[in-house]
Amino acid sequence: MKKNEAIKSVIVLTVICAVVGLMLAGVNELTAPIIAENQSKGEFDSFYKVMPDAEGFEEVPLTGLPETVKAVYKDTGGKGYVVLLSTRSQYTGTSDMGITVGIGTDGKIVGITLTSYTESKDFGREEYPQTYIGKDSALSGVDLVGGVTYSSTAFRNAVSDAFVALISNGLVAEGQKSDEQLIDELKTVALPGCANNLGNAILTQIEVSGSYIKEAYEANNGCGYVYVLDVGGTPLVCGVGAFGDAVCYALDGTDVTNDAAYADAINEAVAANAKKSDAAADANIKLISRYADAGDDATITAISPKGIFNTVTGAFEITADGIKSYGFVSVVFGYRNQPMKMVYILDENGAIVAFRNAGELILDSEYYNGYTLDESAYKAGFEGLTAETFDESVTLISGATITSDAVATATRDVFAAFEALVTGEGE
Amino acid sequence: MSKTNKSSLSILLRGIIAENPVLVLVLGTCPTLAQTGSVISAVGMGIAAMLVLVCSNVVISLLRRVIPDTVRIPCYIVVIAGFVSVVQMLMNAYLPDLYDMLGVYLALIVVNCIILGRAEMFASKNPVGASALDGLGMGLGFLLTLFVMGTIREVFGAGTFAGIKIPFLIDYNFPILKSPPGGFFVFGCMIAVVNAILKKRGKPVREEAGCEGCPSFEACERKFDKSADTPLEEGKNQ
Amino acid sequence: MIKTLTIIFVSSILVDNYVLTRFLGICPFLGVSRKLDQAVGMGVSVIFVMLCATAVTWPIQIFILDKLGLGYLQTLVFILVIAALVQFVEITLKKFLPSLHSALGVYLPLITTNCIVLGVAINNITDGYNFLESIVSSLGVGIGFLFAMVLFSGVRTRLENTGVPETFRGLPITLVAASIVSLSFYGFAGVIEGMLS
Repeated sequence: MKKNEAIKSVIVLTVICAVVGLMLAGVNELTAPIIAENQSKGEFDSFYKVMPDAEGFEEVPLTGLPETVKAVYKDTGGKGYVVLLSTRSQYTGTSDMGITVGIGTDGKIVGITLTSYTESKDFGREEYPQTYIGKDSALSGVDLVGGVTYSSTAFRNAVSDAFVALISNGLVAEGQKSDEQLIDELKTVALPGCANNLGNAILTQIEVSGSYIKEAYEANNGCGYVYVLDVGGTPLVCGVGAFGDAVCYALDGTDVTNDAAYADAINEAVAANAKKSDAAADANIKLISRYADAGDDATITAISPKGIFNTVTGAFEITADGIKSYGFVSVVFGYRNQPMKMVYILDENGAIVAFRNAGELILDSEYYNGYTLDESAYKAGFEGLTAETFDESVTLISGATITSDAVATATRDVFAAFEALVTGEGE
Repeated sequence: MSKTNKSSLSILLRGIIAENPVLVLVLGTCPTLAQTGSVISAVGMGIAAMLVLVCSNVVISLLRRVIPDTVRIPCYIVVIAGFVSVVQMLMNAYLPDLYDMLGVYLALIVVNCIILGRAEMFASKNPVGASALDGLGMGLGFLLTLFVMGTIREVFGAGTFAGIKIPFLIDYNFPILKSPPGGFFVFGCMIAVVNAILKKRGKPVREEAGCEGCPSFEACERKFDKSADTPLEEGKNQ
Repeated sequence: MIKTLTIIFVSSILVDNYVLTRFLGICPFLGVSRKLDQAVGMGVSVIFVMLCATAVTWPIQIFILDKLGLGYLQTLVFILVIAALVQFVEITLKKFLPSLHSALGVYLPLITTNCIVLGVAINNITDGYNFLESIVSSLGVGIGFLFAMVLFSGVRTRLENTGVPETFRGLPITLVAASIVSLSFYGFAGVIEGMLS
């Protein structure tokens, strides 16, 4: 009896499954073509949405496109291009975001829309994309949306990629950057020492009053200051190095340091933070005397190499037993933009006598592997090197690229400072 | 189970008010919380669920003498899944925007306790006509509840109603109502309101989420510590 | 690769917590979270079932349903497979690991037709994860569920000792408490950004 029941159960279940399966297959036959049509129609729908007065669309076969660019179509009527993008929020990495953007032949966005976006967090499906209209490849003034920065960053990067695809293939011209963007970019040009390994300026804004000074920034590693000046409506970006020298650029990148019209403004910038902290200088002198092994009767005087805007923040001449040598302090940005102080002692011919770091050598790989470095062996590798014989391979710490780069930068900068001393003093 | 009032109208009405599946029996909470962020998705979900409920009730009632007891749950699941898939395909073809909005929750109708519960409790024991009405009633109750919740959450959470902007509220609203915490909160308040009404009418109040929709209700009842659960409407301590 | 997996794992526990932000698994969440040991038992069972379910449904989708163009059978096939799988697991547990069965077996039937298991199985496919990513995601979702359950059981224990207005007693106050817990999880969004930048 039980066996009969069991068999009956299985049969009934199987039959029901089969019937349902057939019913589903039938409905699928009916609906699949419609669904497919919807999807393809949807694609062209969005094209017309972003470029309403286009005549028709033809795909442009291109190679070497950024990953987010899926396809590029051009309007057969010559009005511009439509780029299909697909990206993901780096952070949740869940659903894809499909973006269709129409860019006119003048290099400006004429229309943009989200074609698919099923994230639960919404950054404004309709409103946010609209903030991109009329922008060119510089995308100046486009904000990220608070609270969903990763999605909006992904969005913005994708749109950027669309421009890259078109510009690199010569289809549209590059856009114009806004003044804010240009000023931002000039900060690391005016004061190269304030840049980290990615080229980002690590600055803190400070309050400075002056008739020409609009904004003032101090480099986090103490290598100098950056000022944004306004001279009768013309913005200038001025860098003042650790030794009091200034360099000044106009927004188009020309060096206007010696331009008489701006002399007053530049002088104001140089004077703004001219008072050096004595405590800092003393601390450096202590370091130098310790690392130079100079003895108690050595004299250490501070000197100023000319034209230095790099990471060297202190330069000293050491005289001991009639022998002259030099000490340099360089503060570079290491892992996570933390400043690392390095001290170099050079003999009078510019060869490294000693290389020391004043704090911890912060290694990126430490955070993952508990990596240890044989510091004394590492530093010994620098001894005797001059600017000519210096090879960056000696700075390599395996698995700690940021730190290695930082040390390389510091060493190069110190050699540059020494060179400036030699040529400046005519020795 | 039934206080079997054989009158058709009463079967219908019971599902809407007295035994509202969401607010009284507390079943099918997942889509209720998830899809009531806006009126359109709430109504869409409600109608989809209602359709599946009615169809599956009818079919299961038709097959009630054929399906053996041992495999009844899998059979119900197959039937319900079948109808859910049909609704999915039709919606994808004819209402693709709504399909995108409902997303995975459309497929999850198949495990909605309401549908499986009604199949188990009613459709398997009653004739087709009554089952259809029961499905319709419960479905309407579900739909109406979702509609009310969706309205509250959208109107006060975003200042729009089905996308239509409301003048004052569009500027002053509580976006939190639209988000998950808001969903929990509104749902809790609605149940509190219903409890108050029930208390007034002297009916017992449910203190735990209703489980009898689950096919595993039997297992649950027997094995859980009885003092932890509170008495449900159906004589639990039988 | 590791970074992707880490992001998937951590975000499904903290930020996209299936219970508190996607509303899946509400029934066990509300029904079984009163006592800590029940909550833990339920949570562990859910993790276990989810992993099994994903391990089975993902290959079925990729190697059978997609290859044969039978995508529309996904709902039906998945739910049947999950139901059968859980039954099978329960029987196996009873036979070979009776101690484990007495600890977790109670919850298994409750999970079979629960939206959270089916939901994560379907979402893994929709999100286009490969097999490893799907497993990691399911593990994360399960742990997220457990995490939410344990947290919530603590909240409910406290609630039991407070004076709740009569109309709010029982389910309503539980839901309001859940809304606050859900709100607190929003705080994690910033943590992840910072951690992985």
